[in-house]
Amino acid sequence: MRNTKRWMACMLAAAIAGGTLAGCGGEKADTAADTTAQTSETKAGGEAAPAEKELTVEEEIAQDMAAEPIVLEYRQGGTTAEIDDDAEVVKYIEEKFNIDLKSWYVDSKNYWENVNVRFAGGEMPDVLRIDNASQLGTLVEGGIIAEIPIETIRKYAPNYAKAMDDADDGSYWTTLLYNGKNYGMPIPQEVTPHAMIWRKDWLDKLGLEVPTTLEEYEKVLTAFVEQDPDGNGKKDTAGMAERAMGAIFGAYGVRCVTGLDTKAQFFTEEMQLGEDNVPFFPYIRPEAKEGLALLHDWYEKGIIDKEFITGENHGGYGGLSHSFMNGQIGLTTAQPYHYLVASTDSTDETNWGICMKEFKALNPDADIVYGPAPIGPNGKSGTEAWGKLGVFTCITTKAAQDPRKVRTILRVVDEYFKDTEYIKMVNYGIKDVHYSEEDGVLKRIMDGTELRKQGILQVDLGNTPKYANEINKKKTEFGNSVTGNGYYRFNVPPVEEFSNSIATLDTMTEQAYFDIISGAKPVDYFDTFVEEFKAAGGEAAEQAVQAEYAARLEAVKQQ
Amino acid sequence: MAKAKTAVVPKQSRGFFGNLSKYKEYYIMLIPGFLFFLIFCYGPMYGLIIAFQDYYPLKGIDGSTFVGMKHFKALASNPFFLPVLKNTLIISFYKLLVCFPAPILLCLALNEIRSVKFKKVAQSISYLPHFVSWVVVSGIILEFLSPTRGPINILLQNLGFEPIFFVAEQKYFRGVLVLSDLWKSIGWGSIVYMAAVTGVDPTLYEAAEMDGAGRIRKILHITLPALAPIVTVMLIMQSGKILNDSFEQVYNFLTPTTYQVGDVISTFVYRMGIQKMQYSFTTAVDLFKNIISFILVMLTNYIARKTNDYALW
Repeated sequence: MRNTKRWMACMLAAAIAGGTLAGCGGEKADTAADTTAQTSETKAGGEAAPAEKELTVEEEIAQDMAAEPIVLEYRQGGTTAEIDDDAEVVKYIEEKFNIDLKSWYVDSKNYWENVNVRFAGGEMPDVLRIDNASQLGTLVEGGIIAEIPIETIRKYAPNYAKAMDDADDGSYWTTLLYNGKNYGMPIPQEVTPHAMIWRKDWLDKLGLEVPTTLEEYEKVLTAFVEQDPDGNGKKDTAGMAERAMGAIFGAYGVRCVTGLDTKAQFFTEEMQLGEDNVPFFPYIRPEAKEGLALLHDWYEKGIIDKEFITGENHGGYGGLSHSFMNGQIGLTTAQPYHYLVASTDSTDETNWGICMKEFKALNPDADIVYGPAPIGPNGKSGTEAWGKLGVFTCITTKAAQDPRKVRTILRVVDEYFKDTEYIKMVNYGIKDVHYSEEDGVLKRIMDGTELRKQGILQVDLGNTPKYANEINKKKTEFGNSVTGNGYYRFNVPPVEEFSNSIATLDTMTEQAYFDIISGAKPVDYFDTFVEEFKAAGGEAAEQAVQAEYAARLEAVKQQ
Repeated sequence: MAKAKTAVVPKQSRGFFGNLSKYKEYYIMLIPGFLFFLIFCYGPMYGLIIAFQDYYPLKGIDGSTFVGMKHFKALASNPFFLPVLKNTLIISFYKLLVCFPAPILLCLALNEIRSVKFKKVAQSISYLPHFVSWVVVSGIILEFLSPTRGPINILLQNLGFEPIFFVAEQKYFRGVLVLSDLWKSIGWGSIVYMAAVTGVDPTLYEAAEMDGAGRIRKILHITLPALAPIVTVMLIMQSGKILNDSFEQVYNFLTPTTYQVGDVISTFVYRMGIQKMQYSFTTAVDLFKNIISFILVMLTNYIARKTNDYALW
């Protein structure tokens, strides 16, 4: 109760702060509304040079570099440390762009909750990274994210624009459109789907092979329950918990995913893009019912750990599966590099990923092995994969007031598509200080928080194809070799019908799915759930998203 | 009191300004407290306007559009709102029923202990859980109640029962909330009663002993009446908190299987509001909640005034 009260007080204080802010900074909101106009105006008016002719891009950059450094407040998604101003990498970045780099340190747990409270207090960074395109509507309407026209991007970030054009399947440039205007830069990502991770020592003890079909999965997982794989004489092991469920649904062709989070949940807000290019809610499809029926059957048989309800992760880094590490279950899901970094060699300690290190610390004699996702009755299979576009880099209305800042931000983005050395520096830092290199495989030799203090992983733009194939070639190849088909995240376009009802729909879905799997409700309750889901705004949301997406595809085709 | 004064000793009546000049030192000392409440409690109430607006922080209160009762209507039509309200009331009622009298009983029990040393140690141990945050407590309790590793379930299994997944089963969930709250709050809650008990004149007990009163008699006729005023005040204050559910506690225990019995206003607001940036909607929920709380406090106070003399006003 105390928390609610404090929260309420915070809200109210925030409201007041917001009020005064708008009171004395009226023009702020106006300028935010039209960046283009302002940019061209300042250009025509001339900020430093009284020249009549328009400056070329090179001249503008030269001018920016000659001037005093500008402060750039950078809000990267979920970092764990504040930038140390004297660090070498930070200086490198600052000199390169003639900026004074500041990062917003917001704990990656409850990230949006924390950021929202700071927005409510009137604080704003210059660059803001968002994870979900459907957040865009609220952030634009809230006066936080500013427009950035595609022509401006093409002008100052030609390499980025080229990468977008090259990778474009006809929809990339539409990802961050809102009411016909562009609000940021989606970054193409090289994505590896989640891998299925098995307890190798359990398989070996029971003399079993890594399974490939749903039936084989059931056999192996049943053996984990019945045949005492940990050899302690007690029937205290289960097959899997919630994380591997995504792959079971994947065998039926639907993307019902649980993510790698601290809570057991399903991500209803992540819709699926059908083969016919029409997005839909996978959670209400008849295929999902088949998946649920199987999962419920497995729950009854003890294959699914009864404690999946409280989640595999019991705190700490979200990728960790404590149920797996503690020997409760023998199958889990994670990114391949969470366990092994660049090859299947699990004896090489330097090849251990963050989860493998923890796993080995608890079970020095245990081992893991990657396996394929289960193949379903119609030959389908696949695991959860993140979006092929991610790290949505947006500029705020604060940054948009200063055309030099906008140019600089675009140059920071562009550099990541231009200079391999720069990518290496912002991702890995300096050789033998922050990382070691062996056979073309880069390995960090400093812990994550310390790295981020030094400016590493603060302005990076994730695993772009250039980064994945030029710097992390081996890692990328390895990741692809141990995973199969991926169900990629669909970037839901921001439509009101969706954002108004998604919180309710999410709660409904989670409740129904957990109840059906655990047998609190019969499998046929699914049909009732689907009706309720549609009535609670699900149908309207689905149609609105489909219409919006179709319209965007049409618009891109006509260009 | 003022009324009594005027009636009995009319000479002393000097009116508001008369009092102001006579007791000006006291009034000056009142100023900081008065300002505190004005600035930090009453001032921010201005912000409640956003419950009637489509509020965006940067547009501010002046810039956001007025939408009237839109958010209250959305609240009423939300399929989860009524169950959530019901859960809040039920859980709070259970807690009031169990966790309100418990510290009083603990206080009475501690008061009867002869060994001062034992009493102090027992008291200190009972306070301890209060200082541990809910995140940690919930982690401990989840392990403790785990169907495979928890001692309670191991005991149940050894006695031949099926293990019970307490935190995930709807029929046990509220019980877990109430008992964990009891464990965490009982010691701390008893402090205020202990203070009241120490204030009791020891000669009363001595006199009672002379009259041949036993322990129970002494509790019933001396300790409890001495506690009555503070119990009443605490009850009135507790009644105001009925809708102020414990967010940290419930959030850390809640899973989708227990939404139906455990989702309360604050967890609901958190999911809908903070995560989705619906500031106006959540303010509307809180405003609604506070109006109900206000009514409850007034009601309890009214009942207290009718039944005993210890009402707050």
